Amino acid sequence: MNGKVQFGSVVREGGTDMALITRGFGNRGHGRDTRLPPGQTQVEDWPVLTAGATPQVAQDIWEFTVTAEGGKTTRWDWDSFRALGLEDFTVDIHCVTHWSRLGMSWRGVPLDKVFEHVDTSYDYVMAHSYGGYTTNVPLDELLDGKAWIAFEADGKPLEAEHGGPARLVVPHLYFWKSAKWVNGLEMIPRNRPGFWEERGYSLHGDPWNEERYS
Amino acid sequence: MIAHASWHVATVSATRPETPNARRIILDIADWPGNAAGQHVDIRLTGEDGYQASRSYSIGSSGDAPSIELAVDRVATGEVSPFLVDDLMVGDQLEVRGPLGGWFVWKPDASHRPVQLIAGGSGVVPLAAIVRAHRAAADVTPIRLLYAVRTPDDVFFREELEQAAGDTGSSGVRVDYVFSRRAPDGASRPAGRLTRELLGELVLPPEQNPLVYVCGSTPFVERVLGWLQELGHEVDDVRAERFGGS
Amino acid sequence: MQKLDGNVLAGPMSQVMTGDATSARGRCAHCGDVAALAQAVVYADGGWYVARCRRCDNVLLTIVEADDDVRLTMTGITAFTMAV
Repeated sequence: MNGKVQFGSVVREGGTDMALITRGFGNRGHGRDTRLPPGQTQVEDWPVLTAGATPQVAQDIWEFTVTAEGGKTTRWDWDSFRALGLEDFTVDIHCVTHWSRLGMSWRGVPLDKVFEHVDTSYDYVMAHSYGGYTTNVPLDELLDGKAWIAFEADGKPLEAEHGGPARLVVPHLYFWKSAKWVNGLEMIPRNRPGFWEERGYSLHGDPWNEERYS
Repeated sequence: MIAHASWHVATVSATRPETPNARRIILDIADWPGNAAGQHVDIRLTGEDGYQASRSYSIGSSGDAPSIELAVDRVATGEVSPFLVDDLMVGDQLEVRGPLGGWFVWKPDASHRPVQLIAGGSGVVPLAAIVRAHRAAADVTPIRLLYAVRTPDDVFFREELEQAAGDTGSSGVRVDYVFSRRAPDGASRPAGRLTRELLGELVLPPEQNPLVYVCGSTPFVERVLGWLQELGHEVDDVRAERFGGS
Repeated sequence: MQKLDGNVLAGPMSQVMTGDATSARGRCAHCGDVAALAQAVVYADGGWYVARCRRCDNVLLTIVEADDDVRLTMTGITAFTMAV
C-alpha cells in the first residue's frame, strides 16, 4: 500500500468514540460556507468515485427509456432526447463521502420535459445505468425543477469517469442518487432500494438531515 | 497466526528524508503485537475541525519490536501524503489499525522455496520488509528483487538493499534495478522502461517454481502479471498488491 | 479511478471478523471462480468498498464503514473459507 486508498469522514461531536486529534492536520483553508450541509467539506475539484469499471457508451448506441405500468415504454435516442430541450443550470452537489462542490455549472434536459411524454400513476422511480447500477428516487423529487439528465459539466461534455455521456443530476439529495451512465427510469409503485440503498445507504439521502445510512 | 488488527495510538519517534519526494517515518506503538513482512496498516488522521481521513500504508519493517517503519511518497494532489511528508513532526500522534493482511506476506520456512520480488516505485516498501526479514533470519532461501524505479534518486531503502545484496553466501539477495528515466553512470543497462523481455531475463524462471510478489501502481502490477503469465508463471504462484494510481 | 485489490479490505473486514479475511478463499456465486479475497478487484472510496470477481466482474461483496457501525453485504461469494 502507499496511501492511495481515500476515504474521509467526520467525527461526530459527543460521539461515543472521540478519535485522537493529530496536530496540524485538516486546515483546509475554507471558512464554513452556510451552503454546506452538516458534515460536509467544500472542495474545488471533482473527485472521481466509482463502484466498478467505467462503461464506455457511444452516442450512436445511447438510448434513454422510461418504462411505466402496463408495459408502457417511451424511448429516445441521443438526438431525439436532447431535442426535448437542453438548459444550463448551476447547483451545489454534496457527496456522501463528505465533500461538496458549490456553484457547479451543468447543462442538461430537465426531468420535467421528459415526463411530459410519460403517462404513469406510480410515485416512485428506479434509475438504471449502463453497467447495472441502480438508485431509487420518489418521482416528486425529480420534478418541478429538481432534477436533470446532464450531458455537460463545467462547460465540457461529461467524461465517462464522471458518468458521461449522460447522468442523472438530483442536487438536493446526496450525489450517489445522481446515477452515472443513466440509461433509463423505471416507474415503480412502491419505494424500494437500489444498489447502494440495499447495501447500507439511506433510501432517501437528504444531506440537510444527514441521511447517509439506512 | 496473524495477530488480530485493532486501532492503536502511534507516536512519531523519528523521520528522515528517504528521497527528495519521500520520507521515512518511524512510529512507536506501545501495544504493537508485531507484524510479518508484507503487512500494512491503515492510518487515520483527525483534524481539530473533526475532519477525518484514512489511508493504507505498507510497513517497511517486521518483527516484534513496538515500532514500525513507513516510507511515504508525496502525491502532489493528495490529502494525506503531503501532510505526512512535509508537516508531521517527531512527537506527533496518529492512529494506526493493524497489523493488516495475511496474504501478501512472506515468512521464512523450511521449504526454502525461491522468492521473486517485483517492485514498481514505492511498491518496494513491503518487498523491502521481506528482504529485511530474510536477512534478519539469515535465511538461505534464494531471493531476488527486481526494482523498477525512475532514477537512482528515487530508490527507497537504499542502504538496507545494498546491505542485503552485499551479503555473500546463500543468504544474499540479488537486486536488479531497472531505471526507467535515468540510470547511474556506468550502469550495465541504459535507462528504459521495464519490458516483458527484460522481465524474462531478470526474474527466476518458472522451472524454479518461485513464489512471486508484485507490488506497485495498479497499471504496473497488471502489466507485470500479464507478462508473468506469458512467461509461463502460474497465476496461483503470483501474489500482487496494487495501490491505485496511474 | 481507484482500482485496487482485495488486500485493502483487510482493515474494514477486521471490524467484522477475526482472522485475516484477505487470505480467505471463496467462490464467485456467478461464475464459480475460486480465489483468495486478496485477489478480488476492489473499488474504494469514502469508507465504502466494492469487491468484484477477477474473472466475471460480478459484485462479490460491499462493505460500508458508516459512522458507528460497518455494513457488509456478501451475496456474491459462496463457501467463504478461513483457515483456523
